[in-house]
Amino acid sequence: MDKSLAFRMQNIDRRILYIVLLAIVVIGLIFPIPLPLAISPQAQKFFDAVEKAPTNKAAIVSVVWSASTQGENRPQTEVFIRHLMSRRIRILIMAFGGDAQSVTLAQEITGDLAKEYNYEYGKDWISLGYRLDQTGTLKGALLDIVQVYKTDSKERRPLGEWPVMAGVKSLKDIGVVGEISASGAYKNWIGLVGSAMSAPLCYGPTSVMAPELYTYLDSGQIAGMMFGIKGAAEYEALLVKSGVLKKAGFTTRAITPISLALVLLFVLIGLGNWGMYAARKAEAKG
Amino acid sequence: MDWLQRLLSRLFPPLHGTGFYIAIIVCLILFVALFFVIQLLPPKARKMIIVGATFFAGLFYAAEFFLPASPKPKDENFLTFAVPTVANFQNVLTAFTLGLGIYSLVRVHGSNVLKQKPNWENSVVLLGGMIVMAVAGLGWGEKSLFYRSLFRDVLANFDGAMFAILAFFIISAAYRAFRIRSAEATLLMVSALVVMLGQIPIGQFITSGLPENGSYLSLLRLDNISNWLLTTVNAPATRAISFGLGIGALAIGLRLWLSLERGAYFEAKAE
Amino acid sequence: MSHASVRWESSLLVALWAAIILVTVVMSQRGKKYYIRRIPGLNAIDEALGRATEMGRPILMVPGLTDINESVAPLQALSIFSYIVKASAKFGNRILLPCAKPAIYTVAQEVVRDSYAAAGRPELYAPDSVRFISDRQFAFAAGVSGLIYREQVAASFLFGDFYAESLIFAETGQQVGAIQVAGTVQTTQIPFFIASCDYTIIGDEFYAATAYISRDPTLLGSLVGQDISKILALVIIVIGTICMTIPALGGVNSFFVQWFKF
Repeated sequence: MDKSLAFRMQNIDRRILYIVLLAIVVIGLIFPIPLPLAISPQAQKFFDAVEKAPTNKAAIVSVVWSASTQGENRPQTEVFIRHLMSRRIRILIMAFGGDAQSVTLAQEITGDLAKEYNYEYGKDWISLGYRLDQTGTLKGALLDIVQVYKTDSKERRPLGEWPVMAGVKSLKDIGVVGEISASGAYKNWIGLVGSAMSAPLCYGPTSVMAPELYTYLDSGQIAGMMFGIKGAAEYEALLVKSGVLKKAGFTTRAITPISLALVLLFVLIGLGNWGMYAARKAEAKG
Repeated sequence: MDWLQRLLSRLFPPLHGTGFYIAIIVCLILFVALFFVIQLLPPKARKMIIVGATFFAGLFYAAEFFLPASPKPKDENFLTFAVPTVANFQNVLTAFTLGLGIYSLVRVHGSNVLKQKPNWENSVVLLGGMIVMAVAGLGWGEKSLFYRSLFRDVLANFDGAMFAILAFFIISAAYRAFRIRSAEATLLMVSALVVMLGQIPIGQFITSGLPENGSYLSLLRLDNISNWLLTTVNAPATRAISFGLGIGALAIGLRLWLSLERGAYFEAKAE
Repeated sequence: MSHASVRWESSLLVALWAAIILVTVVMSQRGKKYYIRRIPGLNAIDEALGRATEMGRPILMVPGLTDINESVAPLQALSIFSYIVKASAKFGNRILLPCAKPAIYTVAQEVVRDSYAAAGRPELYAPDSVRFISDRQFAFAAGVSGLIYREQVAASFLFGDFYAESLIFAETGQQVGAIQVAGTVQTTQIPFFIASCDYTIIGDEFYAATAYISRDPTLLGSLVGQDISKILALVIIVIGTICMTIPALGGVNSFFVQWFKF
């Protein structure tokens, strides 16, 4: 064994790591490896919650993400909205978070899917708009959504005039709530309005956020969860299985680069430890 | 207790058109005047006002939460009707603070440019970007191609690029940090590897020959072990930390609400 | 939970915790002495300040990403920074305090100015040391990273609510060789800080920090109240677990079991 090589493995220049990672991600995107993906119980529960949602009640899609996390949050939002549209459930879009672009992105995604599913704005879906203060807005919406939002965010017409709002006075009249988020906003839903609503609350966090949510899945305060983009891919697989989608799309394809990046991580961790072990052994020998 | 709601709606009826704008201007003038009056007061009186305002602002949400509410589905008490108004009030206050942020940016970077401090070129780009974006949004409007191009094609991609940098940083940080130096570190690394493998198809493929469920052998599947670690090991630890954090937040919330802390925030100046 | 009356049992518990904390605060203010264990991460603050003095480079403090109306964490962070500013005033270290929220920026200005005044060095306060960067997460991350690189900070203190930008700050700080101390209430970010920072304050140690470094009776009392409240929560969890386990094992359905079923 080349001792100096082992030593060098302890301190590989970070620029080399970055280049290898970039190459692996690009290769993974171009040449996806078709491997079956096991469906996690959390994604299955999210899917089931939407599947069981009453079609005569509206659903809330709460969007708390911006362009920065769209790599994970956009596919989650897409599969969730697609599933709702396939079941002809009315959709109300709410947008929160530190960034007002959440509403623009949500409208863009819903607008594109609406063409595919023949969803009409104002009749089948509506954008309630962006609010900075989620706490106050949710507390208010628990009493009266129309009073809190007053107008929709696209056409700026009084909310009560839109047919999509028929029978929807407050959050208590909602059939299912799904929040796709890059932040810890779920605490507002659980803490402020969760117990007052009859609708199940489903969550789509980024992968980093996801481990925090297992506590609430366990307690039943969150009905289901999409674990980052991997959760979105699982959801997409469920949509394919149930016939909503003909074949899996980009979301499933994106799993290959993630897998390869993690394999690279394992290799690097192994190399680093091998280097450390070799160095220690050499030191012990003197 | 409906009288309170009726009284308030009679005193402050909804305004439209010119009346609405006049009300905004009057409010602005009143609050600016109030600001200067507070500045003129002696420190002790100013402190009393701050303590009082903090207490009453906090009291609203506390009282609204703790006072008994009518049974479900109504679930309201006599303060509940004011929640949306207070929420709007909060939104307006938050929006006003943005002006302070812009003031800070212009002061710091304006001075960089005027005094030609090192890297002043960066400040020019920042101020230029801020002005162009504001002009595009306010002048051309949200639906214009100009604004949408800047927003969708430039800003959104910059944001995405910054988030993507994380992938590189995770690789370098994990490579440096995951060294087996002790028994605990070994345990941590093995569990991390199992969780990561269980999350990806390549990892799931390794144990895909085992039955998915219904057999003891299914417990050895990497995806099942990973899920077990997340739900049975990670979740209780997270919950324990959350309990501590929740109680800690309650304590600091109480201290701030009742202005119990000495020497913090505005008090040092007041004494 | 929208109102206390929806689940009066848990609301009662919150009221009880609040009462316990207030009682211990009053007792501490009246002179009762409390012991507080060592928190290594906070001892490192002085070490970091010493190093910054030796190197003649600035100290960076970031109070996280959230606003005053979203979380109490940034205010707690500013309390810790107040101590750091007072300590750095002795050595005349230059400080940098970038903010992501305008409201935090205004409070931070007051805190820094007052801290210099309290340390007897009001002339050291430089208005540009506290600055607003951007309320957009990654614009803020880019701004702070740039600041870390350009100023080659010697010490970096990251306290408050951090999200995805945590690793960006910590890795950039690591690359310029800064000594880094971090503490966050966002449990998902703790692993990133552990991987990249020299010291990480975990969980509610973050809220204990000001009590530990200032030894102020109010804060110490509050900390002891928190610990008593946690013990109470632990006792309830144990009793609750037993009560839920007995029926699950096909056991009793007594009043006691029912009472704890909230």
